[in-house]
Amino acid sequence: MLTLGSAVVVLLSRNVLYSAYSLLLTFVGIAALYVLAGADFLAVTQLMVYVGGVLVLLVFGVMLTHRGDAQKSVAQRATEPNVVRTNHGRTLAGVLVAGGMFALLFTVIQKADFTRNEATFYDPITRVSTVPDVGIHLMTDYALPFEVVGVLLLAALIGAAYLSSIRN
Amino acid sequence: MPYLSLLIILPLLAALLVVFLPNRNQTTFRWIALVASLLNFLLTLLLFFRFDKSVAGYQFVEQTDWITLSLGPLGVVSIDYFLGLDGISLPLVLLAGLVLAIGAISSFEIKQKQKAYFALYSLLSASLMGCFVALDLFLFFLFFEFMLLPMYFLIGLWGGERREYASIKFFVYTFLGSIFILLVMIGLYLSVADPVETAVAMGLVPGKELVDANVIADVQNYLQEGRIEADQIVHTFSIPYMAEPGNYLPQSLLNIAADHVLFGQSARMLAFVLVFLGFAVKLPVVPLHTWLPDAHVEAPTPVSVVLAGVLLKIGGYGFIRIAYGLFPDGAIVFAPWLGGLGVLSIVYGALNALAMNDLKRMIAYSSVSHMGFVLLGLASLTSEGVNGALFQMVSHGILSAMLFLIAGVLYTRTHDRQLDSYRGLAARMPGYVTLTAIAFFGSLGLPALSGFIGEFFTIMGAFNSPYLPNWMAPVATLGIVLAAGYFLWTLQRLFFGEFWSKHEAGLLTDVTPRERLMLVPLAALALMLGILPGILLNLTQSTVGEFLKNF
Amino acid sequence: MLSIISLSLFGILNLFLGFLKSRRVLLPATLLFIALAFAANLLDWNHQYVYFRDMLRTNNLFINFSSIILLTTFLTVAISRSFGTDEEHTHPAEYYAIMLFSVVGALMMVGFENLIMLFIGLEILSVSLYVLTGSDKRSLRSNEAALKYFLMGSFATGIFLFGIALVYGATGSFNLSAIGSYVSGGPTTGISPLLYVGLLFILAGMLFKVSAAPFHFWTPDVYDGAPTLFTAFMSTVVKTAGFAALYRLLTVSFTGVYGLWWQVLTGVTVLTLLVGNITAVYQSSVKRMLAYSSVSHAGYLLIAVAAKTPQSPSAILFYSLAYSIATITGFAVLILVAEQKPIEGRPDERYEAFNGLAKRNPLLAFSLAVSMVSLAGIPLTAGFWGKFFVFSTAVDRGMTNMGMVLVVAVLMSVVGVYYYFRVIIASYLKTGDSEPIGIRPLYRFILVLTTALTIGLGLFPDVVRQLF
Repeated sequence: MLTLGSAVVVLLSRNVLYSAYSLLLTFVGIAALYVLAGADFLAVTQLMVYVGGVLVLLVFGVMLTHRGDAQKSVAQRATEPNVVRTNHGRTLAGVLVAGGMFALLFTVIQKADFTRNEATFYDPITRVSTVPDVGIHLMTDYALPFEVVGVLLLAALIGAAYLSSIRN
Repeated sequence: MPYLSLLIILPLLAALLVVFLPNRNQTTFRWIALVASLLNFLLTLLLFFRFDKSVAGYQFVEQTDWITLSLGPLGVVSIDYFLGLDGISLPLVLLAGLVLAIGAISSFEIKQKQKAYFALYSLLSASLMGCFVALDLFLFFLFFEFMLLPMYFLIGLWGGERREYASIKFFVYTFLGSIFILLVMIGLYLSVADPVETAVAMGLVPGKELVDANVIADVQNYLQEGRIEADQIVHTFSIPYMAEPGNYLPQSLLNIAADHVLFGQSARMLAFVLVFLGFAVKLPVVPLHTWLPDAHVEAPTPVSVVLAGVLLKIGGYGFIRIAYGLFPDGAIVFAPWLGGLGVLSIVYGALNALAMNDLKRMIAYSSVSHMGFVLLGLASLTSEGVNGALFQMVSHGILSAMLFLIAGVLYTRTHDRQLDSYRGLAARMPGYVTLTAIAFFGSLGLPALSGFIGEFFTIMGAFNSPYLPNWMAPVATLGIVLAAGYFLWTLQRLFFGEFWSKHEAGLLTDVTPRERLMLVPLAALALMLGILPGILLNLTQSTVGEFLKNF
Repeated sequence: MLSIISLSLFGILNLFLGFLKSRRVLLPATLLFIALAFAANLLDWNHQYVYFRDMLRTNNLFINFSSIILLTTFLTVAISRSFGTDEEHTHPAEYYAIMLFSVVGALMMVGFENLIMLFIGLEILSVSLYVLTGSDKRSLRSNEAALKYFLMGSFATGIFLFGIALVYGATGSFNLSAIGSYVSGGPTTGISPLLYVGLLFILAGMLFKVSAAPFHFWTPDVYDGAPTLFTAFMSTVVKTAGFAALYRLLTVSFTGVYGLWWQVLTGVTVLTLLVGNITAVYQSSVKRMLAYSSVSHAGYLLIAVAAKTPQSPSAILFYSLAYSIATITGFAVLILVAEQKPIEGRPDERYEAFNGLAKRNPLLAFSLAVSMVSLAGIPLTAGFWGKFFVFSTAVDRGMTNMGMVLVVAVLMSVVGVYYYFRVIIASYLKTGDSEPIGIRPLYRFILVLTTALTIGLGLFPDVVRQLF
């Protein structure tokens, strides 16, 4: 509930800073859900990467780009709320697509057969940490993807560096 | 001697020569094109004399492997460079040789961008010739489609004011038709096996030379019993093989016996309709004719001559060779429809011609009307009708070439083709009047000129045909009456009465020797075919007789 | 596999070469790298390898597709000489490196054996392309295009990933053949509905990448905004890789549910053909026309995928090859023509810019005409055979299934003639400027090569087909 509520606030709030803080709550909520689902590695990663890294960057970004109306003085601008302007055209189409998607997923989840999993769900003995497993798999079965992600990151890094450089 | 290949290669060589010669030899280009087309014409005459009239099958056959594609589990596709000539194609090859040579002479009046013009003209000649001699459906399609490109540029670059509109309209119409043909072609090659190459692939015989009739019969039997592995079947585009029901794979889409149903229709009937539509655009059949008047009006004179004299004939040739040759069952079922469309074309074309004030547009609509006779004759499926249709194609080729040259004569002098701009030309241009009169009388079907024979035979065929309702022949005769009406009226308006013209009288000089050189042989030929139709009918009748046994 | 490794290394090497600050070294070096990768690629001919616990599989099909990708990359890089002569782009090392990386991604999409690899390959390709799209930093259009592409692309990737997760949930595996045996073997309880939705999501993601309708809305804006060179790269390499991946995924894993995705794909095909061709008619810019034409060609390629006959892979291969060569030629000519007379600092990409091209440079006009004729699918060019093979697969699948699609495809290829010929009309039939356009020798060589290839493949398609 907390997760959902804060996600809605992210969307509806017109102040960027409020949105960012609500996003924090959402991320933490999702991490909690992961823990409940038994994926502790994922939960820790979620906390570290999203809450620790991405969100801090986001808040920094909001602060640095805070500009407001150029006519007013710096002091005036600092107290002004940071407001996002969005365009609300084509609401109907959006609602239709989203509604269709929801209906599709809902029916599928209703039809899906989860009984197999429920048998072992309440068994406390099998609940061991997933961290070692993840590590082992990454280095054995999934060694190649693990390596290749390096190329991906390299490409992304060069691209980001190049696009943001002011070399004319 | 590979005569038929020469027919294609000569103009191709001319085109290459023109392209690679330096630009300053502007005047040599037209001579190259002319010499090539004259040589080609002589070659067609040679073929005419060497042709054995008593044989119904293909002669001068040349066949080499061209493209062989392996389709994996589906077998192999073989596309051959396969040429041949029979009584149906020979008259048209003769006609093409003549008209293209005349067109080359007429092209001397082209003054701009000569290099491009003569290269394209030669290219067009090559693909037109190729169309008539190709016996591999794929090869035929290639020539059929490739001729659009030079034609497109010839109209688009050297045409009149609305040339862009006319050329793209021409292209889009005919391209639509050829895509229909392409679809059927794909269906056909997937359905048909080449018994000779399949025999080799199965290992029945070591080489193609050793295959005889027995082996072919064996292979066909195996095929029908489904005893050949799919990957050993050699699919083919060869028109003669496609005409034999024995070569169709059992259960294949276009096999007669399998009788597949598509969209509630029999697959073969649907295929026939598609092929028919493809060629109907070319012929052209009303209501697919609207590109023709536009193209004719905008095209320069020599291109009009080739367009009317040769290009339209490919439509008729395609009907006989492909639509009728490969789908005889469809031809019978749809005979009344085709006949009806033919009659519609005849009457509609004639009525339109009557209303036209532009000389070229009038001639274009008269073409529509005359090609309607071809369709009517073919639809009758009688010996008279089909022979008459072939005769009508040749006769119309000669006469329409003449007519467009005549229109060109006026146009080069005054750049005005409106009929009401002239009156009483007879006084100033006596030679012109004589030639025009021959062409007009020939076209309206005066006995002793070639047009009469063609129309007479097709209408006779329509009367005798068991497939056509009785009213068609009389209605078609109405077309002749109308033709007499518009031709005589035009003759009267242009030539008789007191001389008057919107333009300076000095411009209107009589025909020059070069124009005479083009018009006189055509006129003589129209007269000769009118008096001695046997020259042509002898060529066609044995093949047509054999052809009609399919029905 | 060797080609993937070598390309990654070459990309890094390229970055170091950038320190030399010399275009004279970089361009030949990059071309050499691609040629080496091409050679490395051919080494595995007729060998089947599976790498790293079923992550990648190389076979002849893989080599064919990757050869096409490498060939088109080679051509694109070769015409890149004119890109960025102004001081903003004095350091093209980054571009070349990113292009090489994106090819790595494309090759992984061709040879994947595991959905994870497909995803990573797709991401490498996409991320590189986001950057390339925005590489013209001073142009507002380019920035907008990059942002749009990035937002839409990440959304599509998200859906795609969701699809993979759902399929994993249903089958318990990322491995293609394992999923395949689950689907066709049929578990006793019946196939889980999660799989269907997963497949649908994966399809949506993939169709987005190959710009099939109704997932094509980004295509015209992005293709229009990106620098023309990268538009050429995007519209060829991504399409080839995307279709190779799509076909592989659908045939290896989901043959068992052909009845399901066949319906989706034929619907998408018809829509794509209609939208792509009809909208292309109304464009006034050649670049946008080519963008819509790439949408419509995606439609033709989808026919072969939806038909799923044994001939399909070779039909897709041939079509991609013919399409790629012709498209690169078209864009190459567009780059040269458009930069002649910029309007307000932007290259002039309208049809009018081509007026009188035949007089200004006959070679440009001729190769443009050949490429347009090939895209329109007229005989004696490679494009015709592509269309022929694609239609053959459809007829072979059976007219009752594919009849509608074929009818639409036929009508639309006639529409195609209309807009492709507008370019030819402009360059041959209209008069415009008469000042000649000069071309550099390498550029000239590439144009002659692609034109010769287009005609050569049109005359003797069997030469290449025998390889497939």
